[in-house]
Order: sequence, then C-alpha cells, then structure tokens
Amino acid sequence: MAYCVRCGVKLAAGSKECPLCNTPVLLPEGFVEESGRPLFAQELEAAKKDGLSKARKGVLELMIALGVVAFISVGLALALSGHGDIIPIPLVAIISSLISLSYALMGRQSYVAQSTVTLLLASVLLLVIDGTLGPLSWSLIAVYSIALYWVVWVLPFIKYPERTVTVKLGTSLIAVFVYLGGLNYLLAGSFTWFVPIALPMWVTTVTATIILIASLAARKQRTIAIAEIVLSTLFIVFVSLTALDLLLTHYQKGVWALRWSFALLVGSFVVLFVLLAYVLSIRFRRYFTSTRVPK
Amino acid sequence: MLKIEKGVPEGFIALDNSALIYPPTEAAFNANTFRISIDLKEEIQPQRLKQALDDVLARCPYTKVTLKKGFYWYYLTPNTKDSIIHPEGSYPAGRFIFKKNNGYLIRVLYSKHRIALECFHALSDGTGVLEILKLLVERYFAPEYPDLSFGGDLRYDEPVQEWEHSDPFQTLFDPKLPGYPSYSKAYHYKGSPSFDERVKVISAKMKSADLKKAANAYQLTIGQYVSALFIYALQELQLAQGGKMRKRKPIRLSVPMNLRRIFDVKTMRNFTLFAVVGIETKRGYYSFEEIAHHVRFQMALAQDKKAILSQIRRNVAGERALALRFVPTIFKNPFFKLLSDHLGDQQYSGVISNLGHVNLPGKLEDLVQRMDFHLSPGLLNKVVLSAVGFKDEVILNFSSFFNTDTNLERIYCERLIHDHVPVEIASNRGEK
Repeated sequence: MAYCVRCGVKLAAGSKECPLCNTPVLLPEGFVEESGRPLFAQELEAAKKDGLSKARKGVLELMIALGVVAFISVGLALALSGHGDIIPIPLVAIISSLISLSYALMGRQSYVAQSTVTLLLASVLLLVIDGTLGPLSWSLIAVYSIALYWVVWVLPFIKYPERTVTVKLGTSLIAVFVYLGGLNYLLAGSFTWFVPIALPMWVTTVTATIILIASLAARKQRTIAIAEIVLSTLFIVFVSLTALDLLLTHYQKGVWALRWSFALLVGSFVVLFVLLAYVLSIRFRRYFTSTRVPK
Repeated sequence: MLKIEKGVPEGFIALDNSALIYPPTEAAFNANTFRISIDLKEEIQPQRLKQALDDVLARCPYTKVTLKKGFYWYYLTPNTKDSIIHPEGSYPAGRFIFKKNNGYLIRVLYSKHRIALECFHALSDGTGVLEILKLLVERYFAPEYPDLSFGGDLRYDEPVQEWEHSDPFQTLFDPKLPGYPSYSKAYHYKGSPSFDERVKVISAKMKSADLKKAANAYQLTIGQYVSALFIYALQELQLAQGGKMRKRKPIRLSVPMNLRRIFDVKTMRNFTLFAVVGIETKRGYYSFEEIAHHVRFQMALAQDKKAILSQIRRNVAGERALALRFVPTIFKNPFFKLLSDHLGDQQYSGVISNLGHVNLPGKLEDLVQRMDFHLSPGLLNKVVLSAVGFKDEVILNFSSFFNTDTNLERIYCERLIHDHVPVEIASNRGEK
C-alpha cells in the first residue's frame, strides 16, 4: 500500500496516482502491488445529458403557468365582450413568447440560433395579427423587412469557413439592394423611387465603402486603429446622406441642389481630410497621440 | 388504502413539513438524494436481498409509497408495484429516475459485497433511512441469524407504531413564537468549470481514536472538528482566490441536526433542521484554533431548543399560510425552485452531514467491512461532505460534481495529516 509523497495520505491498494493531487505512485522496479477491492464499480458510466437546472426549470414553469393564466383571462375577456374573433392574436402571442423563452433556456445558446427563432416567431405573430384583422397586407412588408434584418445581422455570423468578410459584406449590400427594389415594386407596382433615388444612393454608399475598404486593405500596416474605423464610417454616412438629399431634391423639385445636407458635405470633407492625415502622416499622428513634447 | 380526510385523493399521505421543499426543487444538479451503504465480507445474494426488501416494505408501509403531484401539494400514496433491487454503478447519490424504480422513493442497490440504500429526501432523513437499512440487513441475515438485531427502535416482529409515521414538526408548532431570521449570501467555491451531474467521490478512512485525539486537542467533538476542517479548507480556497478582504463573503456551513435527540421524540420521517456555523472572513484570516472556537460555541447555540422551535414556527407557518395552501402546485413549484436557492443554498458555502457512530450487533462485527454515507451535491455548493463511524473507524465521503478539481478535498486531508490523523484515500474518479 502506497502513500502520496505530496499529501501524505495513504492510498487505496492498487492506486496509480493520488486522487487528491494526481501525484503518480512510483513503485520500485519489479514490485507488483496487489489490487484491493475497488470502492465502486470500475466501469465508469458516461456523463449524463445536461438537464435543466433548478433555477431554469423554475423560470420555465413560472412562465408556462403565467402564460396559461394570461391566455384564459384574456380569452375570456375577449369572448365575453364579443371580440371572440381576435382570440388567435393573444393565443399566438402567448405561445410564441413561451416558445421563445423555452428555446432561450433549453435550446442552443448561440446568437444565430436564438435570433433566428425569435425573428421567425415575430414573423408568424405579425402574419397572424394581420390575417386575423383582415386580408394580409402590411405584415408581408414587415416579414420582408425581418428577412432583410436576418440576412444583414444574422447570416454573417453563421460559422462557415469559406465565407470571408468581403463575401459577408457583399451579401448584406446585395440584400439591401434587392430589398429596396422589392419594396418599391410591392408598394407601387413599379420602380418609382427605386431607380431615381435608391439605386444611385446605394451605388454611392457601396462605392464609398469599397474605396475605403480597398485603401485600408492595401496598407502595409496590418492593424487598423479604431479611429480609422470610426472616421471611415462617419465619412460613408455623411456622403450617403448628402447623396440622399441631392437625389431627393431632384426627384421632388426637378433641380440638382442640396437643401439640408450642405453641412454634412463639408463635414465629410473634414472627416476625409482627418482620415487621410491620420493614415498618411505618421508624424502627424504622433503629434496627437504621443506624450512627448514636440520640438 | 388510507383515506385521511374528505376532499383529498385516495390514499393521500401528506409530506412532512421538511419534505415539502424536495419534490418541487428536484432537478439536474439538485437530486435531493443520499445513500447509506454497508459492505460485508461475504458475497451478497441478490435473491435474499430482494426478499429482505419485501419484508421491510411490508413491515414499514410508509416506505411502500410513491410520490404524486396533487393540485395543491405533492403527496405520497401507497405503491402497489413490485419492488426492485439494482446492481450498483460507479456514481452514488445521483438523481432518482422514479420510473426505473417502480415509483419507490427508496432504492436498494447491491454489488459483490455491498448493500446500499438510496433515498429521495421527501421520504425520510439520514437517521430514518439508517433504521431502514438496519432492518434490511437484519432481514437479509434472518435465515442465518434469526435473532440478529441492531437494537434500534424499529422491530420487525412488532406492528407499525404511530410514532413511525408521525410528523413532529406539526406537534411542535407554536404560532405564538417569533419568526427566524435569514442570512446574507455566503461564499461559494467556484472551482474548475469542468463538472457534470455524476457524483464523484473521494473517500477518506481514518481511525476514530486518532480523529478523537485530534478533535480533543482543540476541545471539539468529532462532529465539530470535521466541520471546523471544512470551514478551514473553504477559507484557504477563498484566500487563494484573492480580492479585497472587506469584500469577502462569509463562510458558513449547513450542518443538519438530528432533532430526535434534542426533543426526545421518535419518527421515521424527516425530522432535521440545519445549524448554520461559520466565520466572517472579511474581518481577517482565522487560524484553525479560532475557527474551532467559533464552531464549538455556534454549534452549542444552534441546539438551543427555543431557537429551533422558532425555526419550526417559521417553516410550519409557511406551510399553513392560506396564501400558500390554496395556490395550485403549478404556481407553487416555480417559486419553491427560485426561493430555495435564496433561502437555502445561497446562505451557506458547504453542507456537512454526520450520521454519527453506528453500533453493530456482535454477530455482525466480523461480517461488516465498511460503511458509507453519501450526500448529493448542489449546483452552488458542488462539494459536500458526509461522515459515518462504525467499529473503530470513521469514513468521510466528499461528494463532488467537479470532474478534476479536488482542491477542497486535498486541503482538508492535508490538514488532517498535519493534525496527526493518518488518512487512507480511495475514489471512484477514473485515473487519468
């Protein structure tokens, strides 16, 4: 029977290491220790599947109970007041919130899975509300917008090794383009504002984005400072809004002029100047960031 | 079938006051079970064990029950299904799957040399289940030694007595007494992030004479000494964690007290309350001598009958409150789950349960090799400690959810070695 050289405890016969500190048992060469009677069955059972912990189970049960009470009381109130025809709305609202909560507690704990389920449930709820109140109309546009949100804010986060940042960004920009065209066609039956306003504005934004990304990607220095990202985003927003003002004025008044975005245009030049100065001039950058007193 | 009163389901047997919390809070990492086992030198015969179990169930009808969920409360009801004995696995005191046990709240397991009795806490506490295990062993040896008796209160040849299924909490309830205060949040050892639902055990065996000598050196009893050691180990872990001293949470232990001795009553149901002993580590480092001093006096104060009656008043008043009685189970359950942490697990840093010394009948002295007592850990307190003594030995079992983290156990055992208590260690953890 061996003793642990670190803890000083006596180890059960046949132990190969100390269960307290994992120090191996080193026996003299040729010495074979008799195995003692093991404390438990030696065939180790596999780890059990994770069940719901007490607190999670509690929250879930509480929500289900409150959901049942809420549905009964709302359902009764609607039925007794002669509005029984809209009972599907609270029913679906309660069921979707219960599913959403259950999935949050029990389902895959990832942003993609959780947001996909939540957006799906929201879409179903909007369709049910619209469908219950009359023929489907505004809910189609709402669901269409939710789909765009999913493509822009959820799809890029799905882990897919072959998809680069450029592909993800490109997918989002194309989705916005398709969305705007589709929206115009759905509402007006033709591309009334899409061609004169949305299309050129989209082209301006995409061009500004591509130029800035390409200039950053072409740099020898691999690291990109947060200031550069902030300034680039500001420049793209300012230029896009100026383009929107210009296109909107032309669409409404028939003249090429700026109405409210002149300050933004000036601002975009200032931002561009600072950005260029920041990127190009190391000395200039040091002037603002270094703690040394300039000579 | 028993019909207790009007308006209740057929065969309704109310849970005792202390048991009410266990069924609604049963969940993953909160099994609310424990195990007592006895290892024999001879090989176990499963057929004999099954017969012994049937004898016990026939003699103790309050164990031949199953748990049902009523509209207002969980309740027990007679179980007509056949009993089952199970071969023992690698991990003790795990979550009960009632269906696999034909609905019984006690589970008999056997291995080559071991008879183990696991119990869901809603049925009884450690002292109650120990009596059942004794009766089971008596019945197991009945063909060889018909006169074998542990000398306990439960006699096979006697009919069921009223005290066996009484709930002393209800008779001791005095509505005139004041309530009982609750405690702030205590320190919890977070440990390694790798853990799962399997109960990993480190078992420390030592001579009771050595342990008694070490305990007496600090003017403690064995029960107080093993509790003081637990607090000491937790303090070392809290200290190693770092952080500002004044932000340290107190270290408190929950120590079940067997109220049968204090109130001189007998029951086979739960009759336990928890003494809370600990130290305020934000005041500074406590030497072991200082911890021993605190434990000695706090344990003594915790056994004050008036304070215990006040605690009973709080618990039973909660059960009897109209606002709670007539709330359906589906609403009570989530609140029990959410409040049990707040009023229980969060208030203490560890659980230690001491079953005491088990006296074996003379004929069994040579046949018994070992006894064990295991508790199920919880999600907040992932390591719990149970102690049992027999013949001239004491076994401490650390039950843990951690897969590899054994820091608490190591510090504990190193201190035992420091206090000149030789310790023999065994584990069900797979060697890496």
